[in-house]
Amino acid sequence: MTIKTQSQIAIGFGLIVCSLGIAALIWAYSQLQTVEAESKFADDLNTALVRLDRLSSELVLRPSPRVRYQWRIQHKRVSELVHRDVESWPGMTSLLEEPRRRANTLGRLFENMEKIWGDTAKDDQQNDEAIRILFSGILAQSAAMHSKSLRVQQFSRSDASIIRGQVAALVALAFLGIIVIMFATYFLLGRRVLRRVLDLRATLRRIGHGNLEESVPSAEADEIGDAFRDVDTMRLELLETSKNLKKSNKKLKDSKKLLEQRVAERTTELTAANKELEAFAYSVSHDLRAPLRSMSGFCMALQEDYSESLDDDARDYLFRITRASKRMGLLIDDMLALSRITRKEITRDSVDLTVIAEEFADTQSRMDPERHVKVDVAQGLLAEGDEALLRATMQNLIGNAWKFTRDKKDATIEVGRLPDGNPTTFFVRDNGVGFDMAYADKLFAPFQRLHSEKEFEGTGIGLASVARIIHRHGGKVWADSQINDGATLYFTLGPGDGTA
Amino acid sequence: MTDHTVLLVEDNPDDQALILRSLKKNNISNKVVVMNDGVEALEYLFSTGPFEGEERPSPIVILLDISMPRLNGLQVLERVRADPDTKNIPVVILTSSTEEQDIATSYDLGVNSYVPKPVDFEEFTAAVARVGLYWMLTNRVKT
Repeated sequence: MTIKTQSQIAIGFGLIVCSLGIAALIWAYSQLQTVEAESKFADDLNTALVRLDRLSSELVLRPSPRVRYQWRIQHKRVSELVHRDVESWPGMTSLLEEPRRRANTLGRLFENMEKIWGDTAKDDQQNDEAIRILFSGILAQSAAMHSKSLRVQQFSRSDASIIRGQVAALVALAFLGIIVIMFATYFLLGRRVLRRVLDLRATLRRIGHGNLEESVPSAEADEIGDAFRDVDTMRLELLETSKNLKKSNKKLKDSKKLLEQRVAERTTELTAANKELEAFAYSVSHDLRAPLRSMSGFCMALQEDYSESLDDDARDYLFRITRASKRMGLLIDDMLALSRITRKEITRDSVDLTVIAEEFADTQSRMDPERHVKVDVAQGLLAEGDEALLRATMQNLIGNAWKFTRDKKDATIEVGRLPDGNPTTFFVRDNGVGFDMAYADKLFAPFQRLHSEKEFEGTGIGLASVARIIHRHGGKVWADSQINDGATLYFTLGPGDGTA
Repeated sequence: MTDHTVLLVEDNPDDQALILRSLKKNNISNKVVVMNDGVEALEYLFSTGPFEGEERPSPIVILLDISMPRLNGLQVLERVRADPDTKNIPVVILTSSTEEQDIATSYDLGVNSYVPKPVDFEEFTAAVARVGLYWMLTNRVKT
């Protein structure tokens, strides 16, 4: 039976009880009305009889026409009362039997009296005696009726209290009935439903906490039972979903692990490759240098020990050999340095290019004291990048500027930053010999030179290294020049952050 | 001092020649015995193998290269320092290696001096001269 049906039954019972209650109350009300009427009747009767009694006394004392008239009226009233239909008041009829008789008797007595008073022809003494007997009869009857009426009053009062008791009992019963219905509804329906609702809540809470394994007890064939079944269905679907989720999570984790493994493997490979490369470069440069030392060494030895036996040509050849091997040494060093730059890890720090530039300019002038070069470094040139690599860059660029201003008397090198722009553009400018912009694309290629070795020494690696360093920082490097009017090298160290 | 011998352990014949020339140019007249690798050097020092039975005083200094075939310089150094007869002989490592590890191991094994061979020949000559002048003329050894 569904809860709805049960509630409907409960309501039905409730309505029945209420209706009964209302019916009872209506009945009680009518009973009370009856009792009230009865009381009123009794009181009226009593009052009327008291009056009659008094009038009877007055009549005996002073039987004036007025009093006789009043007595007759009153007696009529009393007769009306006692002869009232009191069938609706059980018990009252028998009680009124006596008053009825007496009322009739009183009426006859009065009539007799009236006759006697009307008959003035009779003997006064006889009349007086007759009247006296009548009077005493009237008084007696009247008094007896009065006392009876008191009984009637008593009767009606006890009736009333009985009725009142009945009404109270009924009201109590009605209330009891309602309370019983209420309790019955609560215990039979409400509590059970509440308990099951709590069960449902507990189940949902369990599911909410993640317990999807326990099946949900499916209860009876009512609404809550349906709810339980629906919850169970939901649980099964959740379980399914959670299983699927777990599966795909595991797949993700597995592939993540696999990827990480691969990455680790690659990193190990790379690190190993880098180490190998480093070792290779190192040993290559060493193995290449040893014969160089021998070559230049014995050339020098020849020049020193056999200078008398050598003519100019011989000395010249030896000089060339020495120079060539020195150059090879430089090339080896530069190549080693360039390969190191490519492989080195870049750390991003805040680097003060001003300090680096000023320090290097100082070092240069110490190593080359005959030259007087004006070096102008802007203050506060802060850059984000690898300190060692940026140091190498500045040394390269300033070193170049120093070298290519060799023939200028008022050699000037300027290091600074362009006023606006994001990212910041740094520059190194000199007023030296410059280069032909037509060959600008070769400027940063390794071993490519735009001046002959006779004009200016160099391996052509310097700017290639600078370009590598700048590119590894994610920046750009370019140059501008006029022949004999100096050159400017610009560079940035990153893509910028989009704000100007 | 000048009658003490110098033991040069060096496998590269060019470097051998250049070292000898440098010493001569700087008027270091000690006799220089040249061994081509570590095995020969130890046989010479301990009078074994081809040098069986030869009695002689210890060299005034051993100039030792590291990278040599068969036994390398560090292994030679270890053996020299292990023997009571030879452990006090000054050893100068003269090598092209500038590896931190080699320097550390050398000093751990008790080398007296570690001199990298300069790549530039002139500097090489000067370094050898300095080494020679110090260890062969200035320094005193136990007799």
